[in-house]
Amino acid sequence: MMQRSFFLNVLAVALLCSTGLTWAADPRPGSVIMKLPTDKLVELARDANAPIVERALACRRLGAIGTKDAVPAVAALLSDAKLNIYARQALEGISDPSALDALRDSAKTLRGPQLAGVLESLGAKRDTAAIDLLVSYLDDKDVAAASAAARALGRIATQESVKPLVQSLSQRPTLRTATLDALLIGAGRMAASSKPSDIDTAVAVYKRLADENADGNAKDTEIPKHVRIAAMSAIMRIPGRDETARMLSLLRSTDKDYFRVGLAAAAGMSGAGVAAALTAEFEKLPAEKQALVMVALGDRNDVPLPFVLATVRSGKSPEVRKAAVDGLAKLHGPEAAASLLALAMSNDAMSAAAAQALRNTLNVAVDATIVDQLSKASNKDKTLLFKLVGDRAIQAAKPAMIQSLNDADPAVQAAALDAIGNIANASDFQTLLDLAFTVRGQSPKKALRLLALRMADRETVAAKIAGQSLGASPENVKLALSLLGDVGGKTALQIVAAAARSTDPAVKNEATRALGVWATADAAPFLLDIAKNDSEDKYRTRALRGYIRIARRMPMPPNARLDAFRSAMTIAKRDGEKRLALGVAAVAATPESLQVLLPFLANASLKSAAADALVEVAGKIVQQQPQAVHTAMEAVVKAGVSGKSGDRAKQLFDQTKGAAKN
Amino acid sequence: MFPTHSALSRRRFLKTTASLGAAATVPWLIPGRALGFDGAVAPSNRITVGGIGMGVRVENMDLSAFLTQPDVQFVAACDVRDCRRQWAKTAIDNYYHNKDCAIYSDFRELLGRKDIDAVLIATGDRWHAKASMIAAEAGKDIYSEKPCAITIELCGRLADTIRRYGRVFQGGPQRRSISNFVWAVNLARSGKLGKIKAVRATTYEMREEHGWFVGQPEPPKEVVDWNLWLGPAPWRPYNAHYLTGGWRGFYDLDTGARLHDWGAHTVDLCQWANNADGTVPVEYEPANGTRYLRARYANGVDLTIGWVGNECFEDGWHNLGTCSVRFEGDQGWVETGDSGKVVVYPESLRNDRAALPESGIDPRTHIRNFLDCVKTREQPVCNADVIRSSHIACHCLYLTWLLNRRLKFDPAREEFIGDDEANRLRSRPERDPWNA
Repeated sequence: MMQRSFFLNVLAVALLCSTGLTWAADPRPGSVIMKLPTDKLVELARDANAPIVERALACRRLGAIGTKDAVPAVAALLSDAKLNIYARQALEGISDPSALDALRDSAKTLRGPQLAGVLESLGAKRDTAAIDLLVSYLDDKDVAAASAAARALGRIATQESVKPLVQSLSQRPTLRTATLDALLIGAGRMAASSKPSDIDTAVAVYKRLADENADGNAKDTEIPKHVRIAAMSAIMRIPGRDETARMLSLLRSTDKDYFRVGLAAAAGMSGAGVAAALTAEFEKLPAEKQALVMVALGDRNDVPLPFVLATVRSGKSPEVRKAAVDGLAKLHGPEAAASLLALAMSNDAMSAAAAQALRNTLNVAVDATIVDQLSKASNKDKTLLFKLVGDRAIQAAKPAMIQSLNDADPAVQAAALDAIGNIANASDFQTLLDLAFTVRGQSPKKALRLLALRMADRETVAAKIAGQSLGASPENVKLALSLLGDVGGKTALQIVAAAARSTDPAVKNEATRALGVWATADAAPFLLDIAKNDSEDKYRTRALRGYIRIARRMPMPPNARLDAFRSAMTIAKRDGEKRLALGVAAVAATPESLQVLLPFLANASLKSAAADALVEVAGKIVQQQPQAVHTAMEAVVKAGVSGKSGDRAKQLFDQTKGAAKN
Repeated sequence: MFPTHSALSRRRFLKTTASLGAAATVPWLIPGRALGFDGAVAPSNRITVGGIGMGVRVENMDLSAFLTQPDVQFVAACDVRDCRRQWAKTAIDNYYHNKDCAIYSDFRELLGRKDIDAVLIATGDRWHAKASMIAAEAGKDIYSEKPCAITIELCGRLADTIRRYGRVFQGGPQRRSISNFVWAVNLARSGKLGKIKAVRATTYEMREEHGWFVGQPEPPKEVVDWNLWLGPAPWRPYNAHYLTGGWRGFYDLDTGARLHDWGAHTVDLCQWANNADGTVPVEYEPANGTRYLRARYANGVDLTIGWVGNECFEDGWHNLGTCSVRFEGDQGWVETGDSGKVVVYPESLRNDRAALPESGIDPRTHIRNFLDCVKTREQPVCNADVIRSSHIACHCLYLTWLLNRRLKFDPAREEFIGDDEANRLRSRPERDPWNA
């Protein structure tokens, strides 16, 4: 009793004390701060009583829209350990000179991370007025501040900012990484300048970092290898400098890293004498290097044809010869084209490589060379030439190819037929149509199919195919129906749908097959009609599966999809089709899908497929419809579904428990 | 004068792999795949790798993909969270049957090890670019999860730094190495779809948070180093929820209001299909109530990004899984997604589709490409220059959504035309000088 009185008293006191008090206000949502006008943002940044998150967001927003009016308020926050970064964000965004003045002024008094951050900001803004200030910090005992100063000087990238960095390089080992990076940044920007003095400075920096005396010997072993390599690469990229000797020296290196730098330079370095120097050096290199250097030479497009041909003929290894063939394909002009084609038509071990290269080469002279060769080639060579004509789609070869479509040599005719589909156009359609219906074998049919599929006017194509099939042999009617299925369009659909009601079993079979894989949803009514009414089970099943396929895969509104699901379920007799149809409701993915699927959990043979579909729908709509998902998943769990769907249902059920309570 | 870095490297990559696939006589220069690894690789020939950020992405995907490469030795793991460090050490040591994996809380200590050739960076977005740049400065090659850079300015700085140091960099959009996507892109680039008119990409519905979670007491630094977790991002009070993915959607911590989550893949694929690596769209149009944003390249091709879902585009979208993309030419189109399915019109273009070996989201081939390039010094398929343009395209789309107005962009100068606010949002300062 005493104890109870004690607690009641404490409670009474607490209630009395709380009278008139309110909870500390929660910060306003960030989205509210983001919409405040500039003057309110400045007020907020200045308000020491405002929640810190609001002041931070005000600064950030001022970085996007603030003006000079905001500078004093945000500059005052640079000394705040937490808000310093937000204040920098504001000042880096404001273009008025007073923002830079504020950063410089604060750098004179700040210490620690806040100072380093401000120095970084001065570098980001490339503030040349801050160079002396930054140089003074290179000696600062705070390594973070000194590193930030070094990096800022590198980013400013002027003669005045870079030279102090060179001087400081050997003075403070702890600053070495930052200084090296700053020098590379600075030299990179100066090398891209139009001022010769800047370029000279960049070269001097790179040479220093490449660790060279005037004679190219190493002098400072403290510079890491990857920095030396970076500097060497950079020197060789500067336009107008003859760095051939350096590149050759790198190619000779036994160190793979240096060799690779030389390799990249061999591919890209310009200059009149570079190609000659490389070809002279080439013979002195071992075969494993030659293969890679040949690839690099191929990139250049200025290597003499005789050199490439000699390497093709007598390279030190198959890899070198293969690289030379690819190099030959990179060269332009009729001579290179003729050499490559001659190699492809020869019995040389590289002929296949040459044929492959001919397919892809950008040397435009190759097309004319092939056309020219067609007029005088042997039948054996014509098969290769027609293949190339097809692969390269050489229109100029079409007359010769049309002529060969009835060639007495079956191999030549087959090669021409194989390739014609790639280069034929609308004017050739009737020719190919006649061939497909008269010449045996698959090649003409394939050629016609390729052309038919490329032609934009489907309706005319379909009408022509249909006209050709009138009175044709059963085999050609079958071909026509198959082609119409591929072509698609309204005309084709009407013809194929009519054929699907034919009394000729062969015609009906082909037509229903084509309808079953129709590419557009407008085949659905025809398929549904066959699925409902055809007298033969085989066609009903085929049509139903085609109908379900469309309902699952083709774009349509969810309601239409659910209607299709109901239609399919009404017709389906076998569990296999019913399972497929359940997938239609899953694709629809609406709360109604859940309703129509739930009853199938009670069907032992469909339970598993129904659960899969329910879980799929639930996963898609759980964010929008947690309550409906909860109810459905509860049913799946209660139905005792095991496996992945069972686990997922349990997970979704747990996830939506909160929604159920609401 | 040199060709551009990306053009040179990719052309040479293709040529080298095509022409030297069987060149087993130059083992120190030839990729592991060409050598046909069929067993153990001598330790001296292995690439030593360290992991920075050992969270769930690494646990679910990246670590096993690295460990199972026969020429990789994973020697170190770093995470600011002790629990993740311990998990990583156990997983790696168990794989190798030893106790050799070293663990670190500060990645700069890991980078200081001269015996490490390459790093896997799988931190949160806020760290990716900064850690990659510091790794490059330390002479390491880098596989960085995407999004690789949180601002337009950082995209440029990252690419510049990688080039400056000649490092091999592979960005995480692994769909550049997954067969159904590669097949679809090649179809578009081959001209078989005719002239490309439009490219479409799906992304998450965009959403952005600006506030902070309420502060909680910071755990001891040995358990969670909160300062290092935040890294270059602006300071905010500790809350444990951030550590388990709660950072997603926050302006300071995530990228592009979640657009880059899938957009880093799908917009990248659109760029590739449009032969637009090295540039970005020049005009952008806000959603205005629709579920998609539009942009236009200088070559006239339209880029549309739609929020992922069944009906994200109005006309004929097939919904082939997450990261769906479609490329439309004047003679046909192709659509594919993470389901691995490909829908193509006309069907005749499907000819060699049956021969494709794989689909899905497995990063193994992408990682293999990275490791091969570490050896050959070619640049991988998703190198820093590729990332630069595809990420900048995403950033421009994001800013169009954020500002809800039309924007024009100059790809050469990497700045918006006539929009000061958009230009200011191209960059953010970094907290603390992490380079020290």
